[in-house]
Amino acid sequence: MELKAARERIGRRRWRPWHFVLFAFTALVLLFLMAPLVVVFPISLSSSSYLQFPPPGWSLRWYQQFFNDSTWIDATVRSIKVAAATTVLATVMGTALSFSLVRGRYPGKEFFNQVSMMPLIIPTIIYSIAVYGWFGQLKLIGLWQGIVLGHTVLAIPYVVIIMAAALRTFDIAQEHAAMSLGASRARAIWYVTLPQIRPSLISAAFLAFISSFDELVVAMFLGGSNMTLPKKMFDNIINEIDPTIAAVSVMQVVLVTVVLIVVSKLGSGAVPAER
Amino acid sequence: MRAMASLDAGTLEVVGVTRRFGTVTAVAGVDLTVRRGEMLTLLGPSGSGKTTLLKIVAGFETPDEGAVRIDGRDITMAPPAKRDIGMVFQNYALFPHMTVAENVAFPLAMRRVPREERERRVREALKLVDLPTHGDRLPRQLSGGQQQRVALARAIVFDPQLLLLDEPFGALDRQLREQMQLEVRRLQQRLELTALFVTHDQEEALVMSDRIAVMEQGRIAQLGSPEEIYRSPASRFVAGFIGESNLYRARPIGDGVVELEGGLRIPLPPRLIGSGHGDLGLMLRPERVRSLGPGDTADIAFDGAIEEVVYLGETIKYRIKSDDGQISVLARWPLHEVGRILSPGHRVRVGWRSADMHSFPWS
Amino acid sequence: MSTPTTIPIERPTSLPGGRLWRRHRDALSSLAVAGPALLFLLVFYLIPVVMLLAQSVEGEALVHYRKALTDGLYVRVLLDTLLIAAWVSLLCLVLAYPVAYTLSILPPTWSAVGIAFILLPFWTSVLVRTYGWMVLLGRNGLINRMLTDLGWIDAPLPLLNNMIGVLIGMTHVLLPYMVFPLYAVMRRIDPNLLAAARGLGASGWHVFLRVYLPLTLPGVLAGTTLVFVLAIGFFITPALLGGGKVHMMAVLIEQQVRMFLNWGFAAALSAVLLGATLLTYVGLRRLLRGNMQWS
Repeated sequence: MELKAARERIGRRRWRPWHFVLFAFTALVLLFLMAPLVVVFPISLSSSSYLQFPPPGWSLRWYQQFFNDSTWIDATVRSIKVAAATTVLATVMGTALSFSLVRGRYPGKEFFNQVSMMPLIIPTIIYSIAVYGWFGQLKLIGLWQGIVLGHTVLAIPYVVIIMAAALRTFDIAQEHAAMSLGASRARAIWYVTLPQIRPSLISAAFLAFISSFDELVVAMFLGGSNMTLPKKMFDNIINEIDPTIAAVSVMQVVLVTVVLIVVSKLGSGAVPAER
Repeated sequence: MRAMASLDAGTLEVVGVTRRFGTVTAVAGVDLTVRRGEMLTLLGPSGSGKTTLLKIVAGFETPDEGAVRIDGRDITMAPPAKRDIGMVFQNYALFPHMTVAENVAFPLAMRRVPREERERRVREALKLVDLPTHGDRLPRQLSGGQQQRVALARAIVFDPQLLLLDEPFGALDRQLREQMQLEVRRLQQRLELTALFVTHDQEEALVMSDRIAVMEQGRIAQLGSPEEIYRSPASRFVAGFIGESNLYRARPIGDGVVELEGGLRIPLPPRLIGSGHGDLGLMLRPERVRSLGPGDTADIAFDGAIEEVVYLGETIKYRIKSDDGQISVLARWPLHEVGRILSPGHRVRVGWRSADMHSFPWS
Repeated sequence: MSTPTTIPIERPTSLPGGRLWRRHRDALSSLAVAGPALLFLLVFYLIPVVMLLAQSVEGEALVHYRKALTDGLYVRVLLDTLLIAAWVSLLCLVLAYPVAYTLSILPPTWSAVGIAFILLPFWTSVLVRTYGWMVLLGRNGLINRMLTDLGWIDAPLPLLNNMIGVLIGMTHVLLPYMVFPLYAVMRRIDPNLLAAARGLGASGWHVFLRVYLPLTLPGVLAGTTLVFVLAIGFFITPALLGGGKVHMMAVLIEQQVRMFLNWGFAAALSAVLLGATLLTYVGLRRLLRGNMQWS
């Protein structure tokens, strides 16, 4: 609280010249960050099949191309299916794991903590070929369920980070109070804790969904000829077929914007804090 | 509800309870009985084990040895939910996502009390704590004192056999705290609820309790009524913890005389010297030090000058040092008796009766 | 008010086994709750990775490792990977530090806008962002077109399918990972400390160098660790923006598996990459812990 008051006092500061240099620099960097997102918009509306600046004319044909092409639609549906299943699995298991890591007292807890973070640290390419090799032997390549397994593993750390943070700041005295009033620990968690960490639960679920929906490398190896959306996009880019990919990109950016707005209203903890 | 409470309120027995954390013994073989309808306070500094003991009674900790019983029923191993104990927490621990009424109804809902009965009892409980119209509010809309009362209502609405209070007034300002102390005490007496109260504030303990258990390093240093503890502390620790006092180390040198550390020798009645041979602790409350006029006599007296003056409003504290430097004493004199505030250097003759002193073994 | 309640008071029962069981019961139920996730990670993560790494050692011969660590071609790739990661980390730091600082001193509405501009790319798929860069950096891309139209250059700059493109792309993707830890640390710095330093006579530059910078060091290290560790494992961006000329470990590994089916060698390369990652992660974390956390 004192920090906030101090910051507020300083907030009403006088701006000096070098501040404006700072602001200009920041604006440029933010421009840098937004540039690729913005540039796909005009390309997606270009009437030309080639990359041309400025576009010779405007047209919606690439959007039509996307919706008319069953391979694009199939890939999208598959991605949604995989992401939905991943979200359910990762959120449920990850939340349970968070409870255990934050509340539990047992030997090896610190080790399990590190283990649950490993998928974030180890490069995805290594995991991808590892699971590709194994699933290949098990004849699981090409099945969307296989991709779900791979994506869930990658999503669990995200869920744990968000939910563990939420649980750590949650006042456990409330659970104790509920227990002293006649609730078993499970009921205390259900009636008292979960309703209050719901925003974090929502954020964790969204994060799991997006991480699976956007994921390329694992899906590339495990999907075989049954592609997910990122894989189809990747192929499209490599083969430079046409700017349909730009239309897909625009739709993705719009989707992310919408999701961000929804999450900022409903969720919490979506901004990764210092790790 | 009143009628039921006195039938339901139980006797709490703590028998030989010990709890260790690694090499630290938090609670060491504590025996305690809280009688039906009595408010007993566990008083002690942090680390004394009072909170751990409370957690053991509540069920959030399991003792390594010993047992906890209510009305003879052993609950040592029972989970908190099954102990029929109401508890008020330090930060109230109200459920912020539920209304006041839902908070108070929670224990009844957990016990599957039918809705009508539930609502009736919630209304009564809220009336008891003087918040009859606040049922629909959310906890964050209430003041600290009001939240405190909701927590209390929630803890008693289901007629528990025992009420536990874990330093519940810490977050309140002084005036509110004193008001709440009296309110809670009144409520407890009215409902004839057996209660166990934990605090580190000795004034609070003196106000709230039927009996006080002063705890030091996991053991009960003294168990008695507030008056007993205040007048006759059993050890140096208790004497230093309760109230402000003059404490002197005294060595018996025979013939009913003891020598204080500064060299001063004073006579003491046999009952104070006792039969032991070790050093004694002598305690004298500052209120008992008298300013002696020309014709006054006292068992122990000396001439001296005022060293320090501390203004407390109607009462002034004076530190008086004897002329020969052998002893200094803290006195508390009401302003209206002395007539004015004396200044440092003022010469005075002070004394007190032996009967006003209290002794205990020094170590 | 006089009707007695009919709430049965449950007689608490002693649990079987006594107090030792009760205390360990809590620990066991905690473990059980974690069970599904841990088992899942064990079966679907640890086991495949271990199986892969096992393939790198073919019948006790470390032939693959010798190739990976001594053959000039592959050593180059490893060094390039580390070098690129280092460059990217540096670029990210240089860009992110002022931005994070600006965000930390702006009033709330402005900083929220700034953060939104960082969150949006952060949450957008890497593919989309990389494609955007291809559009921007290509010979006929936006940047080259603009510069040519303005007359600043005669021939298009080679910004794509080379190291420059990869550096730009990776910096773009990893910049938010540097901004967030820095921002988090900077927000927590007590302005009173800076005011105190000023009051004691320090000039603006000295206040920055001697007070502010050291206080932000934990954030710098955290962000750098994160960016570096992520960078050495990067696949998508170098694959698309490198044009086959920028060889990073991840791209190499993918080639070995997809094109050459060289599982043993790919496994050895993976082990080397993993080793580099873990070493960096552990090493930088140790540095971070050794560095005093003042807040």
